[in-house]
Amino acid sequence: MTRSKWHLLLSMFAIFAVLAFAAACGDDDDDDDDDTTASPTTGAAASPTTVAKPSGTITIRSIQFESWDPHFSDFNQDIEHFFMVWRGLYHLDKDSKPQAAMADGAPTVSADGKTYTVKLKKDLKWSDGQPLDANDFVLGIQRTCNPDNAGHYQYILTEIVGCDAYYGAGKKTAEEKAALLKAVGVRAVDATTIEFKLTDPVPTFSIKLALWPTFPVPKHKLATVDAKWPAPMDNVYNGPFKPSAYTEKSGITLVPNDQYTGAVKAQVEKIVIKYIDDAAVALTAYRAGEIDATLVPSTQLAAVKADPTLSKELISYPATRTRGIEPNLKDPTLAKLEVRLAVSQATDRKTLNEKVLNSANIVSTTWMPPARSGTNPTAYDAAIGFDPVKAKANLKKAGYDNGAGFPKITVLQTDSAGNKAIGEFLQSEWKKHLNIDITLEYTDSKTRSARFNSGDFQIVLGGWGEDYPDPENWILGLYETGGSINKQSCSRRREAHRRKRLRHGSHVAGRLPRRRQALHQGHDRKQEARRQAGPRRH
Amino acid sequence: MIAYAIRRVVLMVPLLFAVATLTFFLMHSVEGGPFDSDRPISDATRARLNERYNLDGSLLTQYTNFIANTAQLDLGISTSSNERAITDIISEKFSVSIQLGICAFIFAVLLGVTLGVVSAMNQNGIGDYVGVFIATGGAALPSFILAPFLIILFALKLDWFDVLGWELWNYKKMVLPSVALGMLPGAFIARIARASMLDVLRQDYIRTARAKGVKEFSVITRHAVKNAMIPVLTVLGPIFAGLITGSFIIENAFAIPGLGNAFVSSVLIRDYGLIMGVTLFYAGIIAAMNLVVDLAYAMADPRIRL
Repeated sequence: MTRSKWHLLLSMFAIFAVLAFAAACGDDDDDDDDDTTASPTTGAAASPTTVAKPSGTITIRSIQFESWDPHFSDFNQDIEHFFMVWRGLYHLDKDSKPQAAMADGAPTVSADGKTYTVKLKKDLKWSDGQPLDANDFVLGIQRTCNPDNAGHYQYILTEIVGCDAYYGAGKKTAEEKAALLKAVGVRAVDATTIEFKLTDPVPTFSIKLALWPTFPVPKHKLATVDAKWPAPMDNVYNGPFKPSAYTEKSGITLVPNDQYTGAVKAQVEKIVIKYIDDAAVALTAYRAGEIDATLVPSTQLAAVKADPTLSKELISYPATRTRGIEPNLKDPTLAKLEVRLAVSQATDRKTLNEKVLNSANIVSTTWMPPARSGTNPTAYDAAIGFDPVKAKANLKKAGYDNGAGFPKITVLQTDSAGNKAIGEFLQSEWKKHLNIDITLEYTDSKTRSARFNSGDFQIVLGGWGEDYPDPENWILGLYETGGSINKQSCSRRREAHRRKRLRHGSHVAGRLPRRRQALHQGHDRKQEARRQAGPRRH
Repeated sequence: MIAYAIRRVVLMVPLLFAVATLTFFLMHSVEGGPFDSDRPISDATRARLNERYNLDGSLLTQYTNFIANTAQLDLGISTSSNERAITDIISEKFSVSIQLGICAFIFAVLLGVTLGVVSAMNQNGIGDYVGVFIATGGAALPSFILAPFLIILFALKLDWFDVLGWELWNYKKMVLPSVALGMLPGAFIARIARASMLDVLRQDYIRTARAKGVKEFSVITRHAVKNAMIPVLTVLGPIFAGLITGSFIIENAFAIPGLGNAFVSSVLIRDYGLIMGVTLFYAGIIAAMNLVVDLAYAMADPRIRL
């Protein structure tokens, strides 16, 4: 397929909802000005349609994956690769709904919602022609739960009986680990039937069965859960493509997998993925016609929009990511709700987006994007949106009238051109509207992350990109007291109870029925409101 | 000379040990570890990862293990490159960097020596001004400016060369990275060659050669250039070592999977194994190249005795 036929996808990167500032009590993704692709679970480009025969080559840019092991990795670029070459029992469609992939239809769920039974399609095969059966999926789950594999996304499977216990057995003896492995609640009833035992009813379980930690393991390549995951050219695949050539840090070439039986077949003869770390270099390569698609760094977005040719090739689409500032609630100043409200209300998000971010984002005061919460991005403007008068009043209420006596606050960010521009904008805005001084501190990504993870920060520029398309992924672990990734020290003891209520709202076949969706929306509204009212929230 | 060479090789062992020790404690003193990422991980996952990569012991234990393994030439595995052996990664990346480095080196030597000789022979003339201008410009232009400039002009505007990658014998992919990498050392060589050549041209033996009626071409090539190259030779070793070990800026600008890029990336992502492996490799290369230069110097100038 030629470059013109592809209608040049000089793509986008529009972070969905930027700057849920005061709402930001989540985490992750300090992401800089460039390019990281959206979560693989979020719909992006148009869904392909079935064609008779694959044709043409498309050359795209990506970043070198760090691990080829889907049961271990959590890196965006890795996951992008995984979805091209492997498939789970289900696959998320363009509307983020799980559709049967290797499974033969929806799972059968027991009356108590704790047992899922999934039938496989008949005659499934790996790319080398070897049969793919239920035991391969069982081994996949076991690998993710395996403490020696140390899978980053084990937490996704925490509801599977025994998975947490096995994962926590890092220091135990081989015999003890073997016993715990046996106790993991997944088994092959027969060659085409898999049974999952859950500790609780989990309505999102079908979605999770579409994610990479649940991908099957070719048992003819890996006999045990401890075996090393084969390298790209030594591995076998059950997705629409398989690698035909690979050079580390240079690129990988994918060709259609003849054994793939999915409904939507590969449309191209070849996908050439070139690894280019620098988004600006990738954009230059795109201009030179060496790649057919890339992401535009926000710092160059204005230039691309101004270019008569490139502007016509630019495609923008929303991604389910939110960026914002994240306060450390252990800090005595930031623990005051009024201070957080003041800085939120003193921030003109619209101007920030237009002038600093080149309108690459959608301004928002909600934490969850509309696709998950059902709310409008401006839903909480009245409460936490730009309002200098209210901002001043709140700062006064906090005991810092016109900024008098306000302690020094440091905003920690990853060092990048985009982040510097954001930091300087915040510094200027807060000085103008609140008469407070902040210090901007820039570090490399690892230092920023280490300090965020250890609680050694006051405010960070962060955000969240979802792992799977469900509102719970925007809440679980992030906000509840003792949440596993609650790095802002949010403290909400009732969160656990609410979470349980939400999750038990339905357990029918893993879909989100209307009632549960409504609960989530209600939850989100209450959350946002409480973020303003409850000092313990922030 | 052989005894000298053996003595220098033996002395490299404590040198490498010191480099390894210093690097080990420096990299562990820097904030952030290999598993700190934008997306936070739970304490349980961090514990499992530390166990998996043997980072759960005390720093002293890790250091002892590291030294013991290194002594057996086992540099461990990378935490960022699909758990490949560090030795494999270095070998693969170095094979690319050395190709680029050699091409840049050839370009630098040709450019530098030519400019230096031409400038010296036309002192205060147009040839000298042009040579000095190019040498000064080459030295003043940082590679992160020069590389995009070359790309914009020769790849985007004129479409003579490619932007991405490296492929041996494919001139479209070889020329721009080689020029961008070789320009600075070429300018450096030009300045040294010019000064040295001017010095040699004023020597008595040059006047004698001319007085004997030796053709000017032979005076320059057989007497002047040969002797003027001794100071140049001194700097060629470190330049060669610097070029073949890769350049982060050039490799990043042209998306070349070389060692320079891998080294800087390894620091940014705290891939301890790769940091240690590449540092030791660099130290070994630079020590070896210095030895080679010393030996070559002795061979080129009989007055020098090792």
